[in-house]
Amino acid sequence: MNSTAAGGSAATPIKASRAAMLKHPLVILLSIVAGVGLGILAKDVAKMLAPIGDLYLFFIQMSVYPILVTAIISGLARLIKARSAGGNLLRMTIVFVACMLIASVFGLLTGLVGEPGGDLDEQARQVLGQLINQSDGNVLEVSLSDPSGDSVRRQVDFWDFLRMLVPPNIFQALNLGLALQIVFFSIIFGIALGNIRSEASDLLINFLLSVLEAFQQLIAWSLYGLPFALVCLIATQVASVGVEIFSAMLKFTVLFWSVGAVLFVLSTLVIWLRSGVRNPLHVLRSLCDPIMISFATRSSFAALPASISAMQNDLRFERESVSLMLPLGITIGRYGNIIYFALASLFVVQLYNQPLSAAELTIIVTGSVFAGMATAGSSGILTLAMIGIVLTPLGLPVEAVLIIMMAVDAVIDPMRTFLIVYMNIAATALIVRRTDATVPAALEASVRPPQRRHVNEAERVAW
Amino acid sequence: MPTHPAKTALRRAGRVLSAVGFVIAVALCADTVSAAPTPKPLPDPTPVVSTVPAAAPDLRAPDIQAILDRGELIVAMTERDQPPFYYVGPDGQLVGLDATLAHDIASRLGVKASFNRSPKSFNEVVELVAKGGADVAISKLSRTLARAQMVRFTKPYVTFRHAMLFNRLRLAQHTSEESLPKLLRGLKGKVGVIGQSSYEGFLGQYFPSATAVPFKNWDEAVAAVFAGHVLAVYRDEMEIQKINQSRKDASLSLKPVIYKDMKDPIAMAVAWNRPHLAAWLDVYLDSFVTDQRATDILRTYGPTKEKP
Repeated sequence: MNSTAAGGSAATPIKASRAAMLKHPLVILLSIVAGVGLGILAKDVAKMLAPIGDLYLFFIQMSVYPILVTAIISGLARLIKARSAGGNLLRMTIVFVACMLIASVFGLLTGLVGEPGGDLDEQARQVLGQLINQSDGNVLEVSLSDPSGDSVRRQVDFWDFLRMLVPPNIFQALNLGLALQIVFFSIIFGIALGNIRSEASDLLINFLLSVLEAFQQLIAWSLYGLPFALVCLIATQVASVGVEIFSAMLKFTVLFWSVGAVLFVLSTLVIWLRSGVRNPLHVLRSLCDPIMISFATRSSFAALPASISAMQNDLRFERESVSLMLPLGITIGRYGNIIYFALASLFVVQLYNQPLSAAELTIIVTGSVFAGMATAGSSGILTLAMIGIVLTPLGLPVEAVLIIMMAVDAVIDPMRTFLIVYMNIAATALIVRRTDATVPAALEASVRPPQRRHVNEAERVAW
Repeated sequence: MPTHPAKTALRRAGRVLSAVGFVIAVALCADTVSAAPTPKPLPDPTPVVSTVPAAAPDLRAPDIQAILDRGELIVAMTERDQPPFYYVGPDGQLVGLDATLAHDIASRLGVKASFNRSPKSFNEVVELVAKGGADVAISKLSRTLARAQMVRFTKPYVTFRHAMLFNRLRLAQHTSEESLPKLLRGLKGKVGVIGQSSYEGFLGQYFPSATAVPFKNWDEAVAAVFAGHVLAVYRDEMEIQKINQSRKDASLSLKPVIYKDMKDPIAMAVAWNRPHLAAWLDVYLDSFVTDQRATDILRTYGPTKEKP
């Protein structure tokens, strides 16, 4: 992204280097410290800064869906044209499924070993009980004689997940930002586009590529504002965390962040080995933007453009494949959520003192994977409600736990989002080859003129 | 006519209730109350209007005269305390909404209140009054058709809605939340109630598919629903909400449900052959604003007020 930003803008070298300072990891780190400090010490200021952080987030989100659609369609169409789709897609499926199961098992094991809901003390139980008691809708009011007033709140099950996949109206899906449906459409459309004759498809593929690159350019520019946005976003986040509920759920939170830390190290190892970069710190430095955006915005899709740029430009993975695999991965492979659902299910099982047999463990592992996939494009309570996909087959109550999960989510969500983004970068690194490896002949046949690629690479500015 | 104790009782009641913005407007200024039924606290009830004009002694109805002759009003209540309706306060006095009402009614009649707390169940309270063992039952009594065959009920002075407290785990094993309201209407499974109480009857009447599990008292029923021995317990909304005050972690394992169209009118009862006493009590109750909600009563008289 450095390259495109420097190449795209007509800035003088001095100005460019000054601006580049804004992207230095030290500056990013400083802004995080400033954000945390503000959030703790000056809650009022933090609340005033919230709209600025929101504006930045909106600006990034504005570009997310166009990037999602154009990247998947053009990526898939070009892979099919290059006749390398089959192997890539098979590899992708294997890696995605394996990563999801690994994530689920990690969450499960953490829950079994750490027992987050095992021995809650009396005070913690009271804090949680009061929290549920004070929540809206805890007291259900029904009419015995008249069923017309029933609330229509529905629980999510597996069939809802399938129903969420196919858009009855693609324009509505785009309008509402239903990520799973958008991705489903993009895949189907990309396959179709790859299978029609080149004279008919090249124009559209090139058009999609132009849209994709323009939006990526926008994101690249917006990253200069990241330090300021980080201060605002993090200050607001820190200021909104309730101390009491946090201490009641301390064990759960610590466990989740611990398993997150372990997976962070493992993922970094994978990316480092696959990238061929000598110094593992260079890997971290290249991925600084996506890491920080995911933590600060708590939106995995907001981190998508920066992730694509980092993998393409800094870590030099194949452009076409990255721009296909990463959007697909972030939509389907919701690793952070999968780990969370597995761990949270264990919390509920332990809270209600339920026995666990092999069958129930299987339900938790697979259920968490589907629940995770179902969270694509949803945020807030909708994300958490998907835990019903796991808990309902187990015969466990959802409602009370959901209220607790919502209350504690301010400290969980950043890690969850980070894991989605970071593990997807690792998964993509496993699937995709690097560009400086022998370029397969198939790529020569791709629609994108190879010349343009070389220009891009020449433009690349080291950090 | 000993007006002084009446006034004190009145002030006490007025003070407590007006603290939550609720008026139990007492018969002192009947006109004022009917003209202004706003839930605004009345001004200090100084006797501008004279309290109860003394009736000519020989014209009194015999059932009222009997009480006056005796010099005390015998009030029937269950043996077990029912806070916040009646319970022994920290200073050993009987306090609560029903106790306040009993004392106030007695002072209106110009007699003392005495309490008969021998009945072990709510149905026994009704039987005691029907047999003439007490003048009036002021004992958080629900009006039921079965009881109304034996005694004459007054107008309700509090109206609750029916409520249940479900064991969340048992509920989740019964149904998904989607079909919850449907399940709540055609309830099946074991439901804990207090034996010999109105709710034992309500359960058979409104939920014929459910199995009643009678308990000796409410505490045992609540313990059973916590343990999951019964799917739910069934009583009025106030008792259901009270559990959250005594056990702060209750909401983790229990889910409250209120049946909003099922009313549980709480009224006083007198023997069938004392119609005038009942009519007089209705006149007395008419001077109240009687739309008290469970939460307000709970806040005013609730167990938290017991221990200052």
